[in-house]
Amino acid sequence: MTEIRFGRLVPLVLVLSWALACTGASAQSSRTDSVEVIPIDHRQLLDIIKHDSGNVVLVNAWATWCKPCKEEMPALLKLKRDFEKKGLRLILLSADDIDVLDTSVRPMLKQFGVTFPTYIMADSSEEVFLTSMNPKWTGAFALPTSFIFDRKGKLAETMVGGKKYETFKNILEKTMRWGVGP
Amino acid sequence: MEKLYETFSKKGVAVVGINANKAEDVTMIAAHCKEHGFKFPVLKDRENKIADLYGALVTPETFVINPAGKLVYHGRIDDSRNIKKVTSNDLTDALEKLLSGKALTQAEARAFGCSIKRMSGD
Repeated sequence: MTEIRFGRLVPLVLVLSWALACTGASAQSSRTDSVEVIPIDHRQLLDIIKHDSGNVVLVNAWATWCKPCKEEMPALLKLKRDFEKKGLRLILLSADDIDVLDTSVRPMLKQFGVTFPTYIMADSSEEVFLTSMNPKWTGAFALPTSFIFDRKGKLAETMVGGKKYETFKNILEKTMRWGVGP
Repeated sequence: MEKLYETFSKKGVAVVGINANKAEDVTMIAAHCKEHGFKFPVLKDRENKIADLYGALVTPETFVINPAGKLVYHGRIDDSRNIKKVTSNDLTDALEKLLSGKALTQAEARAFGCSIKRMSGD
């Protein structure tokens, strides 16, 4: 436990770290049906990863209200273009409330130019999802988080926070090498 | 948070907001506080030193320190971003127990939110 001392003996709440980047909703009004977004729970997702034999799977948890997620998205889409033929499967998983699927999630995916099927979290809580992806994770669940599974379906990396293309590329190339050979 | 401040400041709880996001400067923060009518003090953690000290990863993530200076609760405010779906007000429960002298049943509840954009990050 961290201990700090104050002159006045009152309980103190630190809202650490409140931020502007996470407070604005990104709701948009138009309904867009062109982007496929499938509700999925952690069991179904782990099943997809398990049966995606031979591919490295990158599961990116994001949300429309998360500015770092939006900043990271172009890098993820470039990774998909550059690495798909080398054995990368990108799974975009929205952690938004399913109530905003049509008003926020689909329009934002369309803005990003996403045309492949994506997913929206259908677990009872984010906690359930996180602990199923990485049972050893003890900290907060920060968006975006990317979970990289190797070619055998084993979790290789948990990457917290918005990352650049090069950071992903280095990790992916390393993970792809692990899966090659006897 | 403003509602929580209104409720608990009257009961002797000090509330401090801390912004550790490198992309947001004091001018932006001040404008945001004014826009939303925040009455509690908000500090700028320019080099993420406070965030690092507390191991904060997301926004919002709360830390409750008792009058003896000990961290007694760490985590989320409640269990849903959708106010209609909140079933557990973890921070309020912790404060009420603390103020009534009861033992806290839960010292941690995993926070969920945006990652903090740190000075050293990507």
